Amino acid sequence: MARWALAPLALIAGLAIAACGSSSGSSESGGSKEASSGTIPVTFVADQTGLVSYVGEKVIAGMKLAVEEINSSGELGKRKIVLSIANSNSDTATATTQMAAAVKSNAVAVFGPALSAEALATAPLAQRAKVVDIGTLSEDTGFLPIGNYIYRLTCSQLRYDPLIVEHVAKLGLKSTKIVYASDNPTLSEETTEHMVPELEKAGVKVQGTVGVPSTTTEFSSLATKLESGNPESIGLMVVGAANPDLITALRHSGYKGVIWGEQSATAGALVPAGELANGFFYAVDYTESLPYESSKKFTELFKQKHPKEIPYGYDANGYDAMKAFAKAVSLEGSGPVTRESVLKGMQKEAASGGFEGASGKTIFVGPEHRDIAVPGVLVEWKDGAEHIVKLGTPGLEQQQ
Amino acid sequence: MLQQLINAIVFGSVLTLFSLGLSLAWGTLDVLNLAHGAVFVFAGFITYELTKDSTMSFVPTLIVASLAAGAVTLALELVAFRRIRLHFPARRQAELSMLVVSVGAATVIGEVVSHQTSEAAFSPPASAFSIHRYSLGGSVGITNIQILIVVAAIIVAVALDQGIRRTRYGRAIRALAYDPTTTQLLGVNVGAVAAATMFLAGALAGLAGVMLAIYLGGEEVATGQDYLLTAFAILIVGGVGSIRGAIVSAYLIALAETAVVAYGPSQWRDGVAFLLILVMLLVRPQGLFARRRFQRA
Amino acid sequence: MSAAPLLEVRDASVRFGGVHALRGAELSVSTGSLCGLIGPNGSGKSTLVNVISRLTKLTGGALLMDGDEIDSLSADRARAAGIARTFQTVRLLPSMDVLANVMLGGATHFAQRSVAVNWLWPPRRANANRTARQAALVALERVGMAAHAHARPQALPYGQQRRVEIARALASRPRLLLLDEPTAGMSHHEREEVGDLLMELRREGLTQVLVEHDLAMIHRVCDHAHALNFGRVIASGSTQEVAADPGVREAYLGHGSSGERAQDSERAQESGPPESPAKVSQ
Repeated sequence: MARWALAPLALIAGLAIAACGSSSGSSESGGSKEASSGTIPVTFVADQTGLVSYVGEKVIAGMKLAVEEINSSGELGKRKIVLSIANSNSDTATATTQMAAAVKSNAVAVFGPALSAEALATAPLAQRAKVVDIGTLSEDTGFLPIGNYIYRLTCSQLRYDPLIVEHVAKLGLKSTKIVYASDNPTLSEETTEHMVPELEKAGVKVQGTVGVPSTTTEFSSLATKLESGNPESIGLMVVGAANPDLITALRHSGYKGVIWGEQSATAGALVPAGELANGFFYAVDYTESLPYESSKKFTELFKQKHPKEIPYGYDANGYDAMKAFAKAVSLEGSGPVTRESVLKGMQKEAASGGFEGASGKTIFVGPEHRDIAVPGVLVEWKDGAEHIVKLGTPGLEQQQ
Repeated sequence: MLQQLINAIVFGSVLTLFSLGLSLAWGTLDVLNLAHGAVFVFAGFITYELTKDSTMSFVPTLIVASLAAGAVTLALELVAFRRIRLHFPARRQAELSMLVVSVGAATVIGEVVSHQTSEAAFSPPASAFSIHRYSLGGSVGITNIQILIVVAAIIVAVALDQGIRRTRYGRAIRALAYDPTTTQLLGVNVGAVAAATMFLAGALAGLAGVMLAIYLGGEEVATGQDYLLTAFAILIVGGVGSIRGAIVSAYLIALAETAVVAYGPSQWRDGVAFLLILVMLLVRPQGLFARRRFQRA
Repeated sequence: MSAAPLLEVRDASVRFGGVHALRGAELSVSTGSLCGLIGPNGSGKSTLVNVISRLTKLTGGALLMDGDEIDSLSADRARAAGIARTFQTVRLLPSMDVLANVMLGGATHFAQRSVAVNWLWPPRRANANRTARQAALVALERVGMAAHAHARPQALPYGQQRRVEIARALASRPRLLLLDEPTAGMSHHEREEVGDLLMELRREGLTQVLVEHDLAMIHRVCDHAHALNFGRVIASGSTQEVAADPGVREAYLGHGSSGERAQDSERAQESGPPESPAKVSQ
C-alpha cells in the first residue's frame, strides 16, 4: 500500500499484507533455530511493504549484497551470516511484534526499520534483550539515548546542511527562499532551526520560508509566490513527486535562478522533470561515481547483481549497516558469535576508526560513538544523473 | 496579482476537467466512483508508457490514453456497478456497495501503476509535448499547456452542459438520474446509457490525466487521490449532480486555494476545501446548484 | 371480436414472496380494440399492466404479442416492440419542459439502433433529434397540448399533466397503449375529455388497454372488458355482461375482507422503487 490509500482501504490491505508478512517473514533463515558455531543469525525488521517500501526494498537489496560478499570472501573465516527479513509493513505495531520475535530468536544482532516511530518503538526491546540494534535511516534525536546497544546508520540531512550552505555561499547567491513539507516534522524543523540560521550566518539572505502540505501537486500559485522578490536561489525541502513538480512549476513560470534541495531528490526522483532539473544540487550519502575504493567495489557488486538499476543511497545504507556489523564480528576474533561479543566488537570498531563502506570512510560519532557517520557528497543533477560537486568529510556536523 | 489570477484559472480548469466525470457518474447513476483518481493517474501512466520510448505525438497519445481510461471505467461498470444495481434495487444499499467496489478498483489500478513505475513519480518526456512560455508583459506569463488545459476545460464544460441539456442522450441521462424505472419503460436502454455514461466519465478523467501528466512535471499514484478529495469538495459545494454547479465551484475552490497559497499560510491550502465542505453542509447542504431530486430525501 | 388477438396473456402468475399478485390470469386483446380492465384495489390490475409492459417478470404462464413470446423482453425492448404505457401517478420529469418529456417517450432508438453510430455521426444525430422533436409535437397536438410545449410539467393543472403522459406514450407510435387509471383524480369534465380522446385514438386503430375503477367510464369508451379479483380474471365479455356478472358485483360491493391482503404488494409494484418520484404533484 502506498501513500494514496484511503484509511479504510489501508486498514483492509494492511491486514492482508501483515498476514503475508508473517508467513514469509523468516523464510530466509533456513529454519536454523539453534545457531551452530558456523552461522551468524541476524534479523532485519524491514519496511518491505507499506508507506516506505520503496526505501525498505533498497535497503534490503544493499544488505543482501553485503551478506553475499562477506560470506563468499571468507573475511569472517568459515562463519556465515544468515539474514532473516521480517516485514514491518511500515507500521509501528507490526514492527514491534516483529522485533519482539527477533530478540526472542537466536539472532545475535538486529537491524531496525526506517520510520522514526517504528525505530523508537522497537529499540527498547533490543536494549532490554541486550542485543545490538543497528537502526537504519531514523534521524530522531531520541533514538540513540535509548541505550548502549543502540547504533544508527542514517543518511541524515542535518549532516549535510553545511555542504549545501557552503555551496550556496560559494556560488555567490545572495538570497534564497525555502519551501518545506509542512506536514513532515523532520523537514520543517530542519528548515526553520538549521538551514535558515546557517544560511544567514553564511551571508545568504533568507527571504522567507513557505510550508506546503505534502499532498499538493499543483504548484503554479506557489511558484509565483516563491518567485516574488526575485530570490537568487530557491531551496526545496520536500519529498517525493513534489521535487520534480516544484522544479517544473518554477521553470515553467519563468524562474531562472538556482534551485537546490535535499536528499529525497535522489534515487531518480528528479527524472520526471527532465532537463528542467539540470543544475539542481543536493547532498547524499552515496552516489554512483564516488571515487573511494570501497565505494567502487560496492558499485561494481551492485551492477553485477542488478545490471539495469542505478545504485542509490538506500542501497548503500543497507550495505554499510551490514559492513559495520561484519567488521565488529571480525574484530572479536574467530570464536562463536554472541550478542555480547557483537557489542564489544562494535565498541572496538568505533574506537579503531570505523570501516570502509559503500559511502567511503565511515566513522562512529556522537557522545558515545554510536552514531555511524558517512562522509556524504554534494551532487548536482544533470541530464538524468548525479555528478559530484564536492566530497564531504565524515562527522562534518560535529566540527561545526 | 495578475499571474496569480491566471494560476487560479488554470487550476480551476484542472479541477473542472477532473471533477466533471465524477459529477456525471455520481449525479446520474449514483456511482461515487472512488476509482476516478486512479483512472486519472492510469491515463497519465499510459501517456508515459506511450511516449517514453517512442515518438508518438501528443494528439494520438491523448486520444489513446483517454479511451483507455474510458475503457477501464466501462469495464468497472459492466463487471461490478451494473450487477450491483440489478442486485440491490434499493438505492442506498447499491450506493454503498459501489463505493466499496470502487475503493477496491482504485487499489488494484493504483497497485498496477505503482508496480509498473516502481512507486516513483513519472512524467512523459519533454519530447512528447514541448512547453513554451508566452510572456504577457513583465513577469506575467502563461505556458502553452496551461492554455490548452483552459481551452479543453471550457470545451468539455460547454459540450457536456449542452449535451446533457439538448441531446437525446442527455435527456436520457437526466431521466435515468431521476427515475430509472420509468425511463426504461419509455424505451431507453438504461444499461447502454449507463455504460456510455461511465465510459464518458472515465474518458474525461483520462483527458485530465494526460494533460496533467504533462503539466505537473511528475505524477504518482497519490496524485489522483489528492485530486479526488478536492473533487468531493467541488461536488458538495456545487450541488451533487449539477454540471454547472461543479464548474462554478471548481473555479471558486481554485480561486480560494490560490488566494491562500499566494497571500496566506500556504500549508492550509487543503484546509480550504474542507472548510468549504463544512460551511456548505451547514448552510446550504443541497449545494449552490441543487437539483430537485436531492431535495426529496 | 373478429380480429386476431394482438396480445394474449395465458395462465399468468406473479408471486412476490408469499403473496400471489396474479394467479393464472387469462386475457386476450384483439387488434384495434379498446379493452377495459376492472377490479377492486389489489385485484391484480396494475400487476397485469406491469407484466405486459415488462416491468414485472412472470413467475408462470406466457405473454404473447402477435403470437410471439415476449415475456423475456426487457422493458425498453417491449417499448421498441410497440408497447407503451402511462402510470397511475404522474411520472413526468420536473427538470425538463413538456416537449423534452414527450421527446423522451420517442427514445426507442436506444434499443433499436447503434447508439454509437447515432452519437458519433453529427448529421445522423441531428436528424434523429429532429425526427423525435417532430414526433413529439405531433403527439402533443394529438392530445391538445401543443400550446404548452415549453411549459414545465409541474406548472400545469393535473389533468393536463396526464394528457402530456399520454402524448409521451404516443410519441413512440405504439401498437398497444396501456393506460393505468388515466383519469384518477380528475374532475368530471376532464374525464369526459380523456374519454373522448381514447375513443378517437381507437377510431384511428390504436389498440388500448384501459385500467379503470370507474365503471361508467368503462361503459362509455370500451367495447369489452375483463374483471379481475384475487389475481384471476373472473369475468370477460361486453361491458354490460361484465358489469352484470354476479362475481363482479360481489367483488365491487362486498369487498373489504380478502382483497386487502394482496393490496400492499400491488401498491409496492405500482409505485416502483421506493424512491421513485411518484408524488410530484399529488
